[in-house]
Amino acid sequence: MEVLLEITQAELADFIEISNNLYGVDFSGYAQESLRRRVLRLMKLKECDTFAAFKYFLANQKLTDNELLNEITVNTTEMFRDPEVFKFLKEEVFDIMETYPRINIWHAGCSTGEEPLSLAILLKEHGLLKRSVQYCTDINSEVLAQAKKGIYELREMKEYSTNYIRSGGEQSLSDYYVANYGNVKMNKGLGKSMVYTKHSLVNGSSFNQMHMIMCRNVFIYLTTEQQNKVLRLFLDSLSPRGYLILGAKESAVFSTVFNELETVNGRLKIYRKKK
Amino acid sequence: MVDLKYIERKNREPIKVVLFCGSSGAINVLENFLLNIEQGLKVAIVVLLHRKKGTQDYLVKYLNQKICVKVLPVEHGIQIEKGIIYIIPAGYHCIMEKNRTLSLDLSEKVMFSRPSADVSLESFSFNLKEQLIAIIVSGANADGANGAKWVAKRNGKLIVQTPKEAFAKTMPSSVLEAVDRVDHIVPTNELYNTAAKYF
Ligand SMILES: C[S@@+](CC[C@H](N)C(=O)[O-])C[C@H]1O[C@@H](n2cnc3c(N)ncnc32)[C@H](O)[C@@H]1O
Repeated sequence: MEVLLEITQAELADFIEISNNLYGVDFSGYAQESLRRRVLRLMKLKECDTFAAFKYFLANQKLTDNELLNEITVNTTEMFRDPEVFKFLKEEVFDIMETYPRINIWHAGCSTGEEPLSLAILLKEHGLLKRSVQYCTDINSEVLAQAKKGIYELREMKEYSTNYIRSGGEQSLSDYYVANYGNVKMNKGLGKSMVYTKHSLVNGSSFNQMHMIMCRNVFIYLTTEQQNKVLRLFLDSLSPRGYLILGAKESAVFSTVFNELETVNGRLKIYRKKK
Repeated sequence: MVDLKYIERKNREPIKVVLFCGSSGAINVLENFLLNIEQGLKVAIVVLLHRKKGTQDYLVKYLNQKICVKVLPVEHGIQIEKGIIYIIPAGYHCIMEKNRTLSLDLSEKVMFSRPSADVSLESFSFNLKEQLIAIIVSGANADGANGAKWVAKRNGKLIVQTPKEAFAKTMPSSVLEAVDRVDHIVPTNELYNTAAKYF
């Protein structure tokens, strides 16, 4: 029978300390319960039956820093996730941005790049891509390397195409990639607006004069205190009246800086810096 | 002016939580279950169904019209309260932090499912121990069987729909196979009254 692995709160605290001291990865701002599940998963993967065994494994540096990050953080992403959000941006926000000579967009926690690409496609169809710069950041350099390549699995494209159309896409998604065996390669032109940088939201510095920040499905992994700190960082990085977009099931309502934001669409989690 | 002390006290007061898990054929069972609810419900009910992405809003709206207590979609970071029914969104796992706060998570599917009953049952039982009442009904895969082991180990209550009565019996039968002893195996019509004994 499969053993039922368990770890205590104290052991989890121990893990956070070890990661910080030996691997230089700071998980202290991460929500406890998902962290507990990820640690249990990694213990199973490495066949450690007890936390003591796992501690020994970690102490002997059996992982690289990036492996640890890869196993603990979650990189799941999609193109045109929550199509309604993209449709709203296209119909309500792009016209406002059209008046800017240069458009700065920050994708914080962009993972393997599906989200920046989705926005790039819609910007292109609106004639805005050439004056946009999309800063794509993530704590994990491996996902960024994948994002730069722009290669994805063909079998995902059917769902993405449907969501592209729902987002108000005007062509066919297949106009933007070349299929090759099981993969697709996205057109180079889309990537021209992108700048990829490794950056951690936990201790990284702010950006300058962003007109829009998209940070979706990253807050679900952070403690409330850490979310507040990141929101502060975003407010410092946004230009006056800049947009902030969170994940569909996340919210800024509970945060300490909420009074500095205006809700553009509460259901879609689209906010705007007041001034 | 909100009295913060009062809120804190209220938040620490233990409440029981029902986690209702099902998959194909479970919607009718859920509706039948929820229609028994009366005003003044003393527990929180969290609903986990395997569904296609994007079908969430519809179910919340539909149930709100039918049921006499509030039905809300789960958003990340909400603290659950008694008297309310919460629906887990399709596409996310749902786990429980301390203080009955819910988190959502996009990690790999478990048993081909996200949300997965295995994930939520384990996490809810970790934080609620014997305050958890788990109900497992119709479904065509074995998601939930592993989670049920944790519920049993941590002294939560396990109520399973009689497999014969289920539209798809794999889900309830797998729980019965995985766990030495569940608390109740009951037909659809008795699920609510059986659970309500613990409210
Ligand atoms: C679930 S993915 C979300 C991807 C995309 N935004 C979406 O919604 O589809 C979360 C991403 O956040 C990144 N991440 C986690 N902690 C981070 C941190 N402290 N700073 C920056 N990125 C982080 C992870 O590496 C991962 O790629």
